[in-house]
Amino acid sequence: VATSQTSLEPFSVLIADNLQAEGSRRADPLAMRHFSARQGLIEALKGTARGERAAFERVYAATAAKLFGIVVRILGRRDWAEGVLQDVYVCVWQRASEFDPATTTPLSWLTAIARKRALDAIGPRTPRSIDDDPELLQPRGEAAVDDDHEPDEERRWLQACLDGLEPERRRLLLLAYFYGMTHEEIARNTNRPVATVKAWLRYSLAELKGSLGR
Amino acid sequence: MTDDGEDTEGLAAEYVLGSLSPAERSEADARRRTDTVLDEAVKAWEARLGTLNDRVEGIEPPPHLYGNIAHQLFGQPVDSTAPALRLQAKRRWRALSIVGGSAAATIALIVAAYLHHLPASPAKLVAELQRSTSATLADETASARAAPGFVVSFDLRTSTIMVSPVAARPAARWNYQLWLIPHESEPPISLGLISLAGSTTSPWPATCPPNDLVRATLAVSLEPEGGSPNGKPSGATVFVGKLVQAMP
Repeated sequence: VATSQTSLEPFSVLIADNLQAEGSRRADPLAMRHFSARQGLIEALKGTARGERAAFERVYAATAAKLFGIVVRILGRRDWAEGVLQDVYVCVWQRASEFDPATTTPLSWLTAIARKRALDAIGPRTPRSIDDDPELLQPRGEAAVDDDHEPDEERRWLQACLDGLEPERRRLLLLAYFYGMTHEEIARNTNRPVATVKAWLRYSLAELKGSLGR
Repeated sequence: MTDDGEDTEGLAAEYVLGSLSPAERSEADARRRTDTVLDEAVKAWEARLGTLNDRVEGIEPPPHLYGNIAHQLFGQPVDSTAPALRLQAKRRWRALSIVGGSAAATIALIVAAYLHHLPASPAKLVAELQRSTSATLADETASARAAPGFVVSFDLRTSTIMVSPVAARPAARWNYQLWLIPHESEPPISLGLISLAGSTTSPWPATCPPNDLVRATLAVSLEPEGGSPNGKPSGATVFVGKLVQAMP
């Protein structure tokens, strides 16, 4: 039957080996995994609200990886994140009729549920630094943006507003958002008084709101 | 509640940001139910900060998770649960018209059709995952090194993956995680943590057409308990192998 690949090579080398044996390649598989164009998701959520399991499966297939990524970041542990993700989709099935495409996008609605569940489930965890995830400090390239993203201007505008913040204050803001760190945790993590952290975050948020103009 | 509790706007911002303590969060939750001003402010902040989530890379949840959800919601036995992308034949074309605007969706449905209806597709693929030589542990005997660590088989008729431990041994404080690498252009896809207790069967997530799986690489990495923290292989690659078509 199989094979003997025999060294502790990085994955890129394994893949290159595999490719040499295989020759040229086919359609972009990334496209298959992004089953999440906004209109398709809206229809799938409407179907879910009508109790159609196939529609619910489509919502799951299109969004589970994204929501799992968000929940894993916040909780810092995959085993806890699995339980939370299960709760998230149970909630999606039960509350799909509350989704209103006139006021929000599918991914924003789903993300809000996932973030809330994850933040409510936070337990004791080891201190982390956002420097562990440098990609979170930078906007992603256009190609990597989710299918169901906000209009481009909104994203660029938010980035411009973030860029207007002092780097250290921006870092604290992102630490709170991506890791769900409380004022106290950020204070411990960055060796600053809690009051300073609170004041900085409040200031940064007010700045952001002022710059976004809404 | 925050120090300046009357500041609804600031409370909403901190609530969405995630920086409130658990006690403050539950207080804000309770207030949201009756305070429409706070509730609206929370929704506005969710919209303001929502695009930040573009930066978070997705992580494939383990394949069994959808089965757990279906079991909780619909009471189906987990083993018979359809994988996430599998659609019943009667619904397929209706579903296709619903999501017709999305090329990606169309491709995904075609993949589902492949898995169940193409007679030319291989029915079963298997791989023996051999230990990487440089990952051989000093205390292992030659016979232990010769045996495969795991045998993996993909049954494309039933859309299941079976993973059987053979000579792999438990590693204290580490888990074995299985990865599929179908393409150079594609990051490794996690197929979940491997149980050493015995053979496990789980639904196949159907992200690749079966013909792409022939000669695709499977690899097992050592990961911290609970699995790779970043959705990519983070530890040493200890077993590798390629999928080949099984004899009918």
